Amino acid sequence: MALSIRDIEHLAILLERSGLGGIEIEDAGQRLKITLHHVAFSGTSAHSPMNIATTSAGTVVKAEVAGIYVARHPWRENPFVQLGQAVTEGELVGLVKVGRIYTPIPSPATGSVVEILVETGTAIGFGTPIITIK
Amino acid sequence: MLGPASVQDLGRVGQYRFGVGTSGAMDDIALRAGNILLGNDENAAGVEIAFAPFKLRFNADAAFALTGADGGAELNGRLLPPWWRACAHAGDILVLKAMSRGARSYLTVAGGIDVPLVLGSRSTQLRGEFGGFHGRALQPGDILPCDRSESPDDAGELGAEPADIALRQRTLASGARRIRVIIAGEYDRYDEAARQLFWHTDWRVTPQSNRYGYRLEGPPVQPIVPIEKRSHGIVPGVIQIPPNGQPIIQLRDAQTSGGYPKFATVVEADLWRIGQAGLGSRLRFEPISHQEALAAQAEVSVYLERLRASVRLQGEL
Repeated sequence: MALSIRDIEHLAILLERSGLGGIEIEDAGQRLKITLHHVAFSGTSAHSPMNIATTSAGTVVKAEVAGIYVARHPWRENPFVQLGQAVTEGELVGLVKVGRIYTPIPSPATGSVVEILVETGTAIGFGTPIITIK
Repeated sequence: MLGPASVQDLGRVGQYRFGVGTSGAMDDIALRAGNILLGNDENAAGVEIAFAPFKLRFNADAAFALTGADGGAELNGRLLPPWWRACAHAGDILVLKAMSRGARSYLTVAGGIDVPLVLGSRSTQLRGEFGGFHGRALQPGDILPCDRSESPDDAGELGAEPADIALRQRTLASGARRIRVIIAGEYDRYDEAARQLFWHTDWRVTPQSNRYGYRLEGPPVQPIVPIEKRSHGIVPGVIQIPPNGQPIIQLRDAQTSGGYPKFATVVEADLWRIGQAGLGSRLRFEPISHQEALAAQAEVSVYLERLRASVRLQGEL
């Protein structure tokens, strides 16, 4: 069983999307156990709660995929969000460019953008904090 | 106005022997990209939208994509990014407010627009009044049938990198679009001065431009002696020069034959750039070799292949 960190990330995302709490795989004497620790999150939207961490400072939006952070669509004048802007849950707050596609970063909460933690064009990894919403 | 909205796929190929042209999307790359985002057959029919505002209501839940020109699309008032896949619910209203960054937007839906195949294509043959939706441009009140048998029900939102970013051309100081061409049949009937005039003019797209062809405006380009030819076969992309010296680019709905002298032909890899050139925009032609034209087409293929691979990988996550 040769699993890369990337494979494990994929597995974790699949688990989260399937609503499962964990998985154990055993093969040829090797064992992998993934357990998801759910954070408090209420909402009915389809996006994954994995990309959220709620702290007293606000809700941190984290990258779900590795790629390039895109704060403004290259064809549009304005960025998806600016500091201080009010956003509603599910609203698009940015994109992650992976190959030739852009994956959406939806806002996990309703509130204001209090921090933008990465600059557009930055390479980000799974779980990189991007924006704080409070 | 570049024309109304119509149902188009990649075109009706192989019917020239009946005098039936190809029709098909003016920006074939945008149509393909929309279908790739949706996991459709890339030849699935979509709606080519050449004017705004354009408004439609979904009568059923459907995944859809908008590619091509940025229409500033809003789904129930929410601004969507360009080249975007989203899901609509029954009753949702999609509005394209105004065209920018191009001239034609493509609306594709999961499963495709389900109009009958006529001579092997779902494209609208406007001249022959067949194919597409009752052989005509769309009118307010039309209800388009969609094949919902293959609709993926859980497709989230996703964007594609627009072709003109991925296939970026060096920009000309004048702001004109660079269009690559191969010289054609009657090129040697023009002297060096006429040729240089053609290559160094920023040709303006006149209001007499649509899916049939674009009439361009600039300094008259004349042959050494007037050319009289019988009608002969022509293909989309052929640039003819009628007696007034003002070029015409024959496009998807062009007749299959014509008699004007042919100066050059737009390479297949750049035909979509013509489709996205709006009225009043300017075109600068650049002659390339057959080998370079093949290389340009290979770049398009690589872009589409990478897009397919990216969408496939994302779907596996």
